[in-house]
Amino acid sequence: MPKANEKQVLEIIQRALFLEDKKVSLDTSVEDLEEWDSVGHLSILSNMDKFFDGKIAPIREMATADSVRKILKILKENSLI
Amino acid sequence: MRVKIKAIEYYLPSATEDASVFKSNNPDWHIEEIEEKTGICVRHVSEPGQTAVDMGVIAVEKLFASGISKEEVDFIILITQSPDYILPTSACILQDRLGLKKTCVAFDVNLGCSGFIYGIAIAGALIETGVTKKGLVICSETYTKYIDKSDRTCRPLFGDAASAVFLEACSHDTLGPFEMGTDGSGFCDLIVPSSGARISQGTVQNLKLFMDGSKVFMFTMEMVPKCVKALLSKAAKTINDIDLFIFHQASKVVIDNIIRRLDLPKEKVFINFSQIGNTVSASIPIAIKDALDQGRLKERDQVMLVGFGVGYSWGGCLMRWGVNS
Repeated sequence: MPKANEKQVLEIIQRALFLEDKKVSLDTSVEDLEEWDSVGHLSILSNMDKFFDGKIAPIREMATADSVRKILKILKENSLI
Repeated sequence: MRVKIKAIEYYLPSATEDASVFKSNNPDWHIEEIEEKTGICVRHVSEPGQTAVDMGVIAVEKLFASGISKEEVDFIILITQSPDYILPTSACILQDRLGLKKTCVAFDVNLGCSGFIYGIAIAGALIETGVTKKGLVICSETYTKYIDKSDRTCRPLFGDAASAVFLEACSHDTLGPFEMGTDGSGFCDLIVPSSGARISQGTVQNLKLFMDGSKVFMFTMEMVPKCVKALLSKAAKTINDIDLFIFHQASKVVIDNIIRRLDLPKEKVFINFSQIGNTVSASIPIAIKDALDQGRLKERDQVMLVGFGVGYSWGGCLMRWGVNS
């Protein structure tokens, strides 16, 4: 599977949270979006795992990644972006 | 194991909670979004003062009404994490309340969503080794008593229920193999923290359930497919050999992701959480009964049962349904 880029990751989060008018950026965190609650985070994890072909589920620290930058850092550490 | 489920019944408390109740209690909740993810629209809630033993008695009495004799019961295994007391063992209270013989073996198993699998494994071992001949695995939980009305993570998921399953020996190898496991490093992700003996000095017991939903979700996404694959490998079978998968009815998002990660045919996965909720250890036996009543589970079907959750703990087994003894 080819590596993803940051733009694709932002789009996954955007779609997972069903954001229409609001935009996700590199600086977005859970405090910025009402939609990024516990239910929204499950959607992010689920959509990420689907996109990355099942490679997200074993990365337990994704459960506590509460900002876009933290998500990107974990993905980089696991050579997914 | 040459052991089969002969009869199965369950009880759901009559009081229920749905979106309208949540909206009146918590007007800031986006109920529709929560329901879309959980897939759970209704949960049953035990009455104040109604306990796991009370509900277990009702479920077992339904079994007796269906033709199972009290005299046949050599053992009771009660799966519960909401026992009537820290001690004595709730299964002992059940033995007395049900009027069972005094040679009846009775004990509790403190497991949650994997509990039914462990229960039938223990029951099977008791029967196959000749320690006992026939008996009951009862799963009864009142998790709602541990959940605060404002808890947006747990309250939309968990419902109360009791199930009762009667097992006996049979002439064919119908139950097993089993695949079980534990990862206690996740113990604090689903817990009633201020309970039991580990309470800090000066702390008052506060029986409120805490769940880190994201961590538990990651555990299920990783471990349940591994358990299914290991079980298939142990049994030298493929997904095509399984007629029906019955997973612990955790929630829609969990089951959907298990289906996706295993590439399971949706029609082979039984789902009934919408009008019942996540009933912890009782969810698999309730699903078996509903699958039977709906004609989804038929004579000689090869079924895979998988439970997973609090602990973390998981267990799966194969079961050939309804082979006559």
